[in-house]
Amino acid sequence: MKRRGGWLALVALACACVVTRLLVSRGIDGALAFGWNLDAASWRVGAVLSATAAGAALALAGLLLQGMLRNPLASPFVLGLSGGAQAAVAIATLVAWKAGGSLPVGAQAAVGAVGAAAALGVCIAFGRARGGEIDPVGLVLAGVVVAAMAGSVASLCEWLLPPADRSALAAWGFGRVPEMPDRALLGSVLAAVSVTVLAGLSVWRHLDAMQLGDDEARSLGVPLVGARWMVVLVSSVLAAVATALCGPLAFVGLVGPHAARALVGGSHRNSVMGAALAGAALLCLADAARALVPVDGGRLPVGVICALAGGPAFLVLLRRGAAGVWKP
Amino acid sequence: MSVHAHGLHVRLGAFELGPVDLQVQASAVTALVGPNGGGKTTLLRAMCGLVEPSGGTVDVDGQAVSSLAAVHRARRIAFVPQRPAVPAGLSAREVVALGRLRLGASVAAVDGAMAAVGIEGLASRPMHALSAGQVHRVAVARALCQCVDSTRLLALDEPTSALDPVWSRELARVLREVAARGVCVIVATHDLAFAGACCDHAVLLTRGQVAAAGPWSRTATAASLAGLFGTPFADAHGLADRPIALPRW
Repeated sequence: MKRRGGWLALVALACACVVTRLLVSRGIDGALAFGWNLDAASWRVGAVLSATAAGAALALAGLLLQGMLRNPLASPFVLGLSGGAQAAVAIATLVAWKAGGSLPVGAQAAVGAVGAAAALGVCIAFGRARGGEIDPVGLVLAGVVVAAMAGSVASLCEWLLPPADRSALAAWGFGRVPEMPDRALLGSVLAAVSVTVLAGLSVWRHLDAMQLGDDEARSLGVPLVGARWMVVLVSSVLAAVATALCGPLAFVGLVGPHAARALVGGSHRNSVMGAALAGAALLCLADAARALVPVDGGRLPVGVICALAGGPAFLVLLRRGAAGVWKP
Repeated sequence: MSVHAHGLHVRLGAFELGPVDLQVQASAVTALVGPNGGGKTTLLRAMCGLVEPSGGTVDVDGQAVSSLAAVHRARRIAFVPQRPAVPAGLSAREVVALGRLRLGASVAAVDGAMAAVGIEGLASRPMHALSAGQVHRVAVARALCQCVDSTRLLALDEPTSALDPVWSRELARVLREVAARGVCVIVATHDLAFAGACCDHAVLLTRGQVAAAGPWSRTATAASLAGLFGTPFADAHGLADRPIALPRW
């Protein structure tokens, strides 16, 4: 009964966030407009589709990472996956410019996936305690360092680009929800989300068992090495396609899974679909809030809103983690 | 139906276990006893195929554990770790049901396992809201839920470390019942009263080597335990149906 109430609350929240984003926009002159406007409908729908797809992808990546690493603070942003994808795209953009061309939009996702996977690999390699067990605190610290280094690499690449390319890359690097997304890129994010939800719902018991720790998961029959590689691959692809579409966004991938667990329970049977819904709702809400903030004509990067709202959430989770809410 | 370790050797950093040659009897409870760092947990994990041996093999019914596919290993071996994890948001019942991960869902098996360790009332409670002892009982129930006709080995690492005396006694009863079904039950423990009351056989381990192995009453004597731990032991009478050697305070 409680879980049914949680599902109702989550669906209602997601619908409310989508509707809010559909009804709020800024005109070209920066004037705030409420209500349905047929002239701006395609832009608003485009923004909702982008936010829904990217938010769901980031939250699913966070859910998978938190379960595999048994770390409530894990997320694509905290572990440097978003930063890795950003740095890889920045490097590829620079290389393409040096070669006299430009990086195709479709290639951003593939290049970003390599960067995200590399960042996660470095985090896992350096975030292990003696004996090979994953150290939750060490992992987060490694992620902070990787994210900082990746951010520096991206900044360096931006600096070396000509002004026009530099400003486009910088705007993307702040994080924004495109109102007219590239169709192929949007399609790849939606496809990644759909495949992950379907796959997650078919192996939810394995994902639950991975939360018990290496020895227990193995003794229950989970092929741990293969399952881990799959989670690394899927979470890297999710983070990469979301980052290619909207730029690096903080904390959606952290808060989404926790919101889903709080409402529909911690078993992946429910939390896979729940995290996708919660992430989509959070990014729609953040983009609506961005439009409502009367700064720069409502054109603040949504990444700023995500960081401002998500930072305190991270600190709250850090406190709860210190109190032993999620013991590895 | 027994579990054999042949020349088992494990290297974990600076620590080395073995070579160990050991036969764990079916239909009996065997205790691994020894000082801290003696190799009990490493031997237990190696026997369950959870750590890669650097030499030797562990055979279950003549098949090397290391050659078993994950699903076949899960059908033959159940394991309870020293410190069971507390997964985020999962309820006690959801964790117990994971024991059937590779065996097919069974409500009756989950109910039976939870009843065996008295956690029926905790079924819907989230794991992070349970005490350490309750978490341990959930882990034992999960392993019991995994025990089916094909199960040959049930291994538990310090299963009584967080239990009160009543549930330690209940656990001894449950383990004896599992062993009576033809399963090799092996327990790494420092709880000598529990081991003395529950176990048929003892394996004394120190510095990664088996110092002695055999029937409990002949192996875990006051003299042998005094030599093993380097402190005086004496026989306590009246705790169980046989004297139990306990450290002298």
